[in-house]
Parts: sequence; C-alpha cells; structure tokens
Amino acid sequence: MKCNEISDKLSLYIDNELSHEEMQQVEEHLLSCEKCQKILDEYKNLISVLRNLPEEEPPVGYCKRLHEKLLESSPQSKTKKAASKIKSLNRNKLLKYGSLAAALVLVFIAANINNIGRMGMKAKNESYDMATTESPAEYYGAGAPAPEAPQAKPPVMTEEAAEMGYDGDNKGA
Amino acid sequence: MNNNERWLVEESRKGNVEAFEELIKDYKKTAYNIALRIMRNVEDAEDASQEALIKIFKNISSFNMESTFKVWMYRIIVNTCIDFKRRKNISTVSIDETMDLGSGREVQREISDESYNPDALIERNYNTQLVNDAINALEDDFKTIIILRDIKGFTYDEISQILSCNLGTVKSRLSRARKRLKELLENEMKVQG
Repeated sequence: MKCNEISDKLSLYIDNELSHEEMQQVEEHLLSCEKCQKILDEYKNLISVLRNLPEEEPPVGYCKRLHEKLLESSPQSKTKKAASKIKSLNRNKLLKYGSLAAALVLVFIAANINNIGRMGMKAKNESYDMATTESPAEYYGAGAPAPEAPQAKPPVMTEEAAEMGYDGDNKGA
Repeated sequence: MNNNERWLVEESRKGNVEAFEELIKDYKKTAYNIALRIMRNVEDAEDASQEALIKIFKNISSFNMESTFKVWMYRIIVNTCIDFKRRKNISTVSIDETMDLGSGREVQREISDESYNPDALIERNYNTQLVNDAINALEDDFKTIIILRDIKGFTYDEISQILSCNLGTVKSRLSRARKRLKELLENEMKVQG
C-alpha cells in the first residue's frame, strides 16, 4: 500500500474504525515508514490539542435569560395567562354589567323617591286645596257657575240594616 | 435513557420548565460551546443556543423515548445553529479561498498533499489561539464534524445520528476535515516561520 493511501486511513486508524485487515495493513506499513509514522503522530497531537481545548463558560445571566424564555414558551404559563385573561375579562364584564345594574337600581330608586315625593306633595296639595278652597267660586273662577251646594243625602239603608230590620225613618212607625 | 431522565422528559412535555432545566443541566454548557464554535461570537452563541433549547422544549413531545435524548438534543442544536448562521448571513468559508487567521495574517487555503512538514509540526506545541482560528476557518461541514468528534468526543454512531447521515459519510468527512485542519495549521506555521 502506498503512503498516500495509508495517510488517508490514519484518521480512522486512530479511532479504531478500520476493518481488522486494514488495521494490520496500516500497522505493517507504519513499522517500515518513518514519514507515515510522523504523520500519525501529528494527527494524534492535533486530536489531543482539540480534546483539551478549554470550554467557555456561558455569559453571566445566561441561565436566567433562558429561564425567562422557557417560561414564556411554556404551555403551562400560556394556559395560566389565558386563564388570567379570561378572569380579568370576566372581572371587567362583571364590573361593567354590575355598574350598569347598580346604576339602573339607583335610577329606579331615585325615580321612586321622586314619585313618592310627588305623591306626598300631591296629598299635601290636596289637603291644602281642601283647606283653602272653601268657596267654589274661587276654585272654578268667578264667572263659573257654582255647583250646587251639597244637599243632605237621604239616609240609605244598607243591606245589613235591612236584614236586621232597620227601617230608618219608619222606625217605630 | 434512565428512569429519572424519562420522568423529566414526561414532566417537560407537560410544560414543567424546572423539570426541563434539570434535564438539560449537563448539556447546556456544551450546547453553548457548540454554538460558540459555529457562530464565533458570544452574543450569537447565546441567542442560537437558547433558540435551540427553546425549540427542544417546545418539541419535546416529538422525542421518541426509545432513542437517546442527548443525540436528539444535539441534532436540534447543530441544525439550529447552522440555520441561525445562515439567517444572520454570517460568512462561511469555502474551499480554495484566502483565509484570514486574524492579526493581519492571511494564507492561501489551497495546499497540495505533498506540502506537509511533519518535523515542524511535531516539534512544536500548537498555540490554542492558532488552533481556534484554524477551526474557525474550516468549512461548516468540516467544522461541525471536528467539533462533534474531536472537541466534544461523540462516537461515530452518535455523529451519524446527529448529522442524519450514514456512517460512511461520517468516516470520510472526518478524515477530510482532520486533514484540512492539519494543513491549515501547517501552512500557518510556515507563514510564521
């Protein structure tokens, strides 16, 4: 086997990745070829340097930043976010409709208070009217015909009285 | 996959962030370092590795419990970093173009097979910065496989799963990548005299 062919196999030879037959061929060649033996040593030297290259530490805060990104991309946190969004949406709706309902109740109460007030005023006015309008002429106006003065109504016998034999005017007749 | 890891995966599927953080505890630093090798700067490495880890968290339901979590995770990390790099339009190196090793040092990438200088290489200790620069100057496919095999120590089988390619491809690509890296270093050492 020529040096070039052997040289191409040296990388695999180092890693023990050649077939048994190829391994033997390379070993035999190396025994008799100083040049290929040196190339082999160079490869070994290079690989040893590569294996011992120092590892760099990740920058300060690397893990923290990664943790934050992981939290952002976690389906759990997304579910939590969605739940909190729904909650906040519900809270907003509750606030909105609750306020509306409260406002309606207040309007209703206010309206009723007004009505009660008016009713009170009306009742007051009515009694005031009754107290002050002694003369119908004043109430209906001077030119208006005064209603007839109420006349004493004849006593009306109620059904109860009739049943009891109450006779009214004919009592004792 | 042990029972604890299985339980953590189950919890992560439910969206438990703390369980996921426990699950990736031992892989986080490696994820960042792979991203740093691919992206070449701290900010992009953080963004790309975190984007990958978030993607893993979001897609953990699609993880098949019968396979290895580590391999599944690193496949997403490598792919996300390469996509991130493409999206950001960070330049990738192609074969036969001049490469800049920093500090104004520029060397031609194309080197013939006969240009080895074994004596020079073997007698010198590689400077870490020089090695880092040479890794950075590699094409993405070569760089990725060097990172996975020689820097992170994945097996050939794991690499074939991470890169979704067959074992033959892993073997040939790794051989070529190591050869290219060695050539870059030799050439740089020649330039330095």
